[in-house]
Amino acid sequence: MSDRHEHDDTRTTPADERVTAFLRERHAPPADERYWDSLEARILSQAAGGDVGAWWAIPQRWTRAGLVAAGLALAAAGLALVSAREAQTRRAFVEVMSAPAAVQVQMATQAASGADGREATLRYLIQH
Amino acid sequence: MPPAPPPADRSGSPEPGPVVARADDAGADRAQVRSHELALVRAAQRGETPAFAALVRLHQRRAYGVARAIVGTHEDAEDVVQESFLHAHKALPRFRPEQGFGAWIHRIAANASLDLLRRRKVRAVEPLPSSVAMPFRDPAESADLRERLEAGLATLSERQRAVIVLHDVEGFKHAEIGEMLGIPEGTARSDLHHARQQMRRALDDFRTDA
Repeated sequence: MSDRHEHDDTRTTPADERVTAFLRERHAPPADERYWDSLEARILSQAAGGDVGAWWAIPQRWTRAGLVAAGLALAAAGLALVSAREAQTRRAFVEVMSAPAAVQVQMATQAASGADGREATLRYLIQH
Repeated sequence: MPPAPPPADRSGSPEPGPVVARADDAGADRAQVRSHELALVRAAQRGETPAFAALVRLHQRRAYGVARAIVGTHEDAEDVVQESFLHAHKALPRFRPEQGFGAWIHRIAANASLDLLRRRKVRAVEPLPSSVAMPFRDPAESADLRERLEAGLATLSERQRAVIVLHDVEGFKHAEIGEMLGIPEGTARSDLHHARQQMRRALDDFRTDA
């Protein structure tokens, strides 16, 4: 007898019928239609959520336009930064050149005389 | 818009008529259902959500049956069904519609179930809900029978249990079961044989007048 025939369970006994009835009841799917509606809704919501959340899944045609726009924005920002720095340097140069020289001299003199006074005091204290 | 559904299944119609004519009708209905499903799959592949929803509605019960047969518990089966449809949704652009969506989703559900079993080596056997009535008039007899059958079921391997449920409850053929579980058809046949023998043995000295 071949293995196929040996395992050919086409005949059923009353015991098999009981077993099948038991298994059918044990594995019965939920009968409430609302359960299936809710399961379907959950599946669809998760599937939709996956699509929205997948930010990298943007259409191919948008990718190039986005990259070009980002490049242009970067170049414009770079130009603006360079021109702002140049303007700042120019302004600082003009301010320095146009400041009155007397003030600087006077301040230097004051600072120098103050230092001399301190040195004289120190020398006096050390000697006496 | 998803395609309009085919007319309701008439296979259970009590209308008299020649057997051949009824068989032709059934064949025509099957072809119509298949072509409707094909249209749904193509629409879903174009990103039409209502078409995918219709596919879920058509196949969720059967996918649940496959998952329940393998994982055993309702909660796990529900998780597997959700996971399977999400996987199918992601893989839909790569799916060839002529393969048959039903067979595809059953394979996905079976694989997801087997994965779940591998992840959870130990599985608690779900007790039979008390609302389930066994077909016996005497409650004591019914309780005894249930106890014996539960004990018999507990002696089966996970694969034998899946095979007997997929075959005897869900009505799948040996070859389909083999494909789903990743085993040869002959192994599915032999698993069914041994599972039935063990379940018969559990009822060996059980006598009833019912």
